[in-house]
Amino acid sequence: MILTTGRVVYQYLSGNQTRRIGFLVQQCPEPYVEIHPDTAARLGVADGERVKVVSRRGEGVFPVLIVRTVRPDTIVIPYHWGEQLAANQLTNPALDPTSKIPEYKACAARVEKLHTRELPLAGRRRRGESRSSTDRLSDAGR
Amino acid sequence: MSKIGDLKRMVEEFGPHLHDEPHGGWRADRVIDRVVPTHCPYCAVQCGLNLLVSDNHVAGFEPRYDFPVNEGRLCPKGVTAYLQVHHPDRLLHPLIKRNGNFERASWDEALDLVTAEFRELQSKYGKDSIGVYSGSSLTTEKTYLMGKFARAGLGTRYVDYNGRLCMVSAAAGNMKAFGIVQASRMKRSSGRTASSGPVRPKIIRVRRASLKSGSITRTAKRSFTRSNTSRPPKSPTPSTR
Repeated sequence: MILTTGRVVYQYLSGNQTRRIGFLVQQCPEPYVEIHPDTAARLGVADGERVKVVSRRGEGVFPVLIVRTVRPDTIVIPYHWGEQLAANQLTNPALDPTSKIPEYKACAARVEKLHTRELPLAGRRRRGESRSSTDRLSDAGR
Repeated sequence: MSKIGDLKRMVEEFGPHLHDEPHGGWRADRVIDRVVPTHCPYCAVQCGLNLLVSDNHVAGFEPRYDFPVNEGRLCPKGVTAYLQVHHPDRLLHPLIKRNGNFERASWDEALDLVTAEFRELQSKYGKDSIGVYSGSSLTTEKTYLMGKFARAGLGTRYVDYNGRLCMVSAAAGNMKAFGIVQASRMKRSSGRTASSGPVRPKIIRVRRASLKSGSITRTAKRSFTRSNTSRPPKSPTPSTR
């Protein structure tokens, strides 16, 4: 599959500024991997389930976010995080000959199902489900 | 690059810490005595917003409807951008690293140190031993100053900006394909337009509508003028919040 990297509206670049604002971190606390519903069905992965994404250069564990805005042959990981959560652990460091930009936007990768029971949190949170009105009420009561 | 001494202590001191409140906490009785029109500090779109100032501290924000780029709209980053101003992690004075630890210093002390180091490096290794890395979040005036500082001040030929890791390849591709840096046609390569440029979908909708009606410039112009005149700019009168 083709892995591309992209942005999240709640974070900015390396997150140096946005990961200091509570609201923004709450809305998008960690990176995820966007997968088309057809691809997710083929792989047998559910929304929010953690999967391992592997390329020739590296690998990372990300929760699945099933969306229709991505092509079935493509997966997207936002790039705003560092170290083990960095999407660029997987991308290709080859430089474009004209602009000298590393090849962040396309590389071959595969998704592996993890056979562990991980908390399916981020996928639901991204849809706003876990921040429902009841959650907010219980937050306020704390 | 030298190693950071005690990482845990550094994080404790400098963050990242989460911060979610305006200066002085959430209060209903605050009197706003000034409305300052400014820009969002994040991406290169530079959306306009109004900062609400109370007792010389930023207490909140209001939409800036008279700004042509975003017409009052803001993304979640812009909405919370005012929280950065009094963020506890902000560095408000220079720090000089001594014996592996950052210590507070005066501006004179810090600037003297920087000047001395720059001079030494340039006399040893030539003018081009120092490069300047700028950012797309800077205003036009700041970018101009940055260029002046690099070329006239330092005399270096190495000036670059964060676009080197972002949109320079797009510009290079456009140059090759169309001979222009900025494409007049929009191309969408993934379904993530709203995430990448939150105020852009409206501009695309305006463009699309004008393409359909067949009068691109006139319609786009009309849509901008109409929205500018129909909503008067917020009057900077004191209000309570």
